[in-house]
Amino acid sequence: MKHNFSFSILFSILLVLLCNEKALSEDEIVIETTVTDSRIKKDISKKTLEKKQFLQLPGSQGDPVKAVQNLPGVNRTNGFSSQIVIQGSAPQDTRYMIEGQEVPNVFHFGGLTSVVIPEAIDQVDFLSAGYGAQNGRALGGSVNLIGGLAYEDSLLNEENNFKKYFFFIDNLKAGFLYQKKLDETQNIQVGGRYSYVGQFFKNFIKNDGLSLTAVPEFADFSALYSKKLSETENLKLQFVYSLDKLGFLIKEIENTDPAIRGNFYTETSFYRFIPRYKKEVSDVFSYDLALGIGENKNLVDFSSNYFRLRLNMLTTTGEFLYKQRPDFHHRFGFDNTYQSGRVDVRLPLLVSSGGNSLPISSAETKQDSIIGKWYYFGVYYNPEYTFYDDIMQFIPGFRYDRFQPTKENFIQLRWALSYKKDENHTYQLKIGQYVQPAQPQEISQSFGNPDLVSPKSDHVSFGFVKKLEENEWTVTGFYKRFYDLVANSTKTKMRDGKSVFEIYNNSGTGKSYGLETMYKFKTENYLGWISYTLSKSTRASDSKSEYDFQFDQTHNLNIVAQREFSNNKLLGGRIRYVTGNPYTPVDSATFDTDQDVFVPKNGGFYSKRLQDFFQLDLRFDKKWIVRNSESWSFYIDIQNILNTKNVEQIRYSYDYSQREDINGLPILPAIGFKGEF
Amino acid sequence: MKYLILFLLFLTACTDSKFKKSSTLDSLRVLTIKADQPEVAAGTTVVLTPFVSDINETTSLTYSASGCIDPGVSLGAEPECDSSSVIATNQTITTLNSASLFTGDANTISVTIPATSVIFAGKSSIDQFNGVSYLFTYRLTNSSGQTVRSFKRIVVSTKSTKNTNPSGNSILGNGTALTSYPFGFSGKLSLSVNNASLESYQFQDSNSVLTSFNESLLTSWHYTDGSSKFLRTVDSDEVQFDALASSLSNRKSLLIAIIRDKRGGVQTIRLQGP
Repeated sequence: MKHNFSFSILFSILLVLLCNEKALSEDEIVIETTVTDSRIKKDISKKTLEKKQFLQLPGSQGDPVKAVQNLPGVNRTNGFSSQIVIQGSAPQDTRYMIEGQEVPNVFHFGGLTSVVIPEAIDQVDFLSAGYGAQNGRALGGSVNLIGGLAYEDSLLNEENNFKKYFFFIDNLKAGFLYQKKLDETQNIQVGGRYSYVGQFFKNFIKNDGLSLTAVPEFADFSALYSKKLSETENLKLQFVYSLDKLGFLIKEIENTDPAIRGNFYTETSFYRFIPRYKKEVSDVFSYDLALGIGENKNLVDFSSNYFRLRLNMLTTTGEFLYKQRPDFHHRFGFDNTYQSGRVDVRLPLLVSSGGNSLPISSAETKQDSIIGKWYYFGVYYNPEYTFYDDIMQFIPGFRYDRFQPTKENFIQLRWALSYKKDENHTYQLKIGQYVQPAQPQEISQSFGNPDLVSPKSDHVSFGFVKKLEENEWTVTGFYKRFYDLVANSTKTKMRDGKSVFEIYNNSGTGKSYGLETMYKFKTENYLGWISYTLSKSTRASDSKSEYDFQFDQTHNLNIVAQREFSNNKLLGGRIRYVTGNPYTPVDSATFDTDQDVFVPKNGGFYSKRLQDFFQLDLRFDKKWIVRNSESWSFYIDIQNILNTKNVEQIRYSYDYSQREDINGLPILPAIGFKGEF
Repeated sequence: MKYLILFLLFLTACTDSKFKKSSTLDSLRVLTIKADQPEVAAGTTVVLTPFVSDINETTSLTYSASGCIDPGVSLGAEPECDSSSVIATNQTITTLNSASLFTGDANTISVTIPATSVIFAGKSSIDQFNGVSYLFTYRLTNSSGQTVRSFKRIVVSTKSTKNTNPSGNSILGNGTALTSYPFGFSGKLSLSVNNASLESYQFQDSNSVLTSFNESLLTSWHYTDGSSKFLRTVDSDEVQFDALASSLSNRKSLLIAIIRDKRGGVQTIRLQGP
């Protein structure tokens, strides 16, 4: 272990917590959902969004993953990306999973919607600073989609022949879901969607210089079979498939970079077959095992360049719970990923400094073919002690990880301490050590530096939850220290006796800290919350003194509210205000005479900010119940109803002497119908 | 990468005419730097000819130049050489004047590439085959004190067949060769490609596997007057060009094609009107 874990000082701060033990209702954000009994908390850093919340949450267009953006501590990237930035970490520091099995993404392109039809998702688990030993390989946190049946068991009866289904259609996509109860122990469900969002793009692109050669489209399909094998055994078989593709021909060579021309085609797809088996062997012993078997495909072709990846994926997770005593439980588990496949690459080595990329034309083109097998192995142990009449809980967990590509081994401590002051107050302290693999291109022999080690982070989080009758107030402070981060380098080094450019090194460091709070309210007709995060995130490297991180957002405010009216009408709204992201201004540029392109010279590193982001979204739902087995719904979900021109990027003229702002998406209405039978 | 593509799509879809066009010659510019040998063996002397433009200049242009082993420009290093690498300082360009609109070939500069023991020091055989860059920087200043900076990378390799400049290409207007700025022309400009000058070349990957590629030509169109639909074309692709109707009384008009093979090879064609 190259890094020094010095956490003892952190334990000198005693904090304890307050966490309420109230029953979890369907339509609330819960701080912790997975409980083994009335006292023991498994992971006190988890926030969960349940189906009812994300299906009707304004601004998320019924999408579970977009709804996560409303939670405290979730930073924006920009309007063109769907990735989630957690508490000042980088976008790549978030790990995405379905049923605990790692997948390459959970969004279709542009962040339009999640890769699984929302009704087939039971809940979304969001992990942030201080998350437990069950999860790993992410410096920021993770988003995990848990699949489930769309309809409760009681809704499938003889009257509807034990089946229910729905279809929907709106201006961006259409889909269906079918569920059938086979008998008292078995259910099957299939669902899927297809998007004709390409038509939207076609209308959006009014340019003689560009034509679409493959209309942008996405599709997904999911299937679920569940069987209660016995009173103590459950089996769940899931299948998920996701596809995104887009092609276009640029006839007009881009003004700022002549390499941007010709045919572009991109296709991303993956599938997973996920069996999951849970068994309670006895009152004191149970286990939960799952597999993810599938394939990731990613194809990008542009001009004479290409990136073609095809990976066979096998992920395995498992947890064993042994309740040695009522106040002392043991959890053992594993979390492994195996990959094998081939990557063929011919790409310019793109280097971005301060967010300003070198022109593609000016970059050195590299070509490589890599065939191999890679694995990431993780095991953990969480002893859970409850003491002082169940008012305190201590989880001194640890996790071991082995990263085969870099031949590294790690032991990480993940400790959690909670204190229940009374039924309405819980305090919590979490600390942990985290490591994640460097990006594949960063450790590539051709495109990066194979001598890199994996980036690391230490987290401390302290907060409380206070229940105020129907309302709830949560406050959490967090501090994260980053080190061994991968930083750009133009230094040379000797490798295998040869002088080579480092391209990357591990000199990156950083920190992020902040305070996040969330107030949930619920009255007879109103439901909603206010979440606010005050934070600071900085980075540094051997060539750059400390600077504001690219996604440092001082203020992040989300107000979400909805009102229920009579006759099954629902009106909701969301307001988002976020400090503008830092950016690096371009001071001047030098002309690359071979490539007919200007190479920008950075001014102060992330020394300026884009204007603050503001957006108001509204959603209206109306449902008509024709009879018990038939209902129709209409919804209109309008994002950015004020058509606020939020600046997402800066664009420069060919020689960087002029600049202008690129705004995010304009007003975007989704209008649709849904029939349920 | 997916997001890069989408972003490129967005950029391209939203081309905005508010920005000045790179094709319009109305300011101090270095349009290209031509090396008599764009790819050489170590120790070779290379003659460089900058092609510059400043149609508003009335007095003189000056230049400074330096040369060094590429510090890693493609990886984000500044395209600059240190003070020990200076080749020329504040030299006056004597080849251009008001009659030529201060647009054309500037004074040539000779550069001697370091010997094998220096430029290939520590480099793998793959790097030596694919080429190591020698950086030439060129700073151009006009009498108003404006300065532009530019650079060229000379490829130094062990390949037996080295890249040469494209040649023999000419400008066509609606299929007919043009010899001067075409006043009154409104039609399709294109390049008459000399296929004999298009070369094939090899690239060695990290497994020492050789892949062959064929050159294509990228033409950048520049003019003092008129307008074109696109700013660049590939090979013999056509572009709509609307020239000035008739000559100006106060100066001449220019139409220039800079033809690049994207490997350092350059050909320039300069058409001037009365």
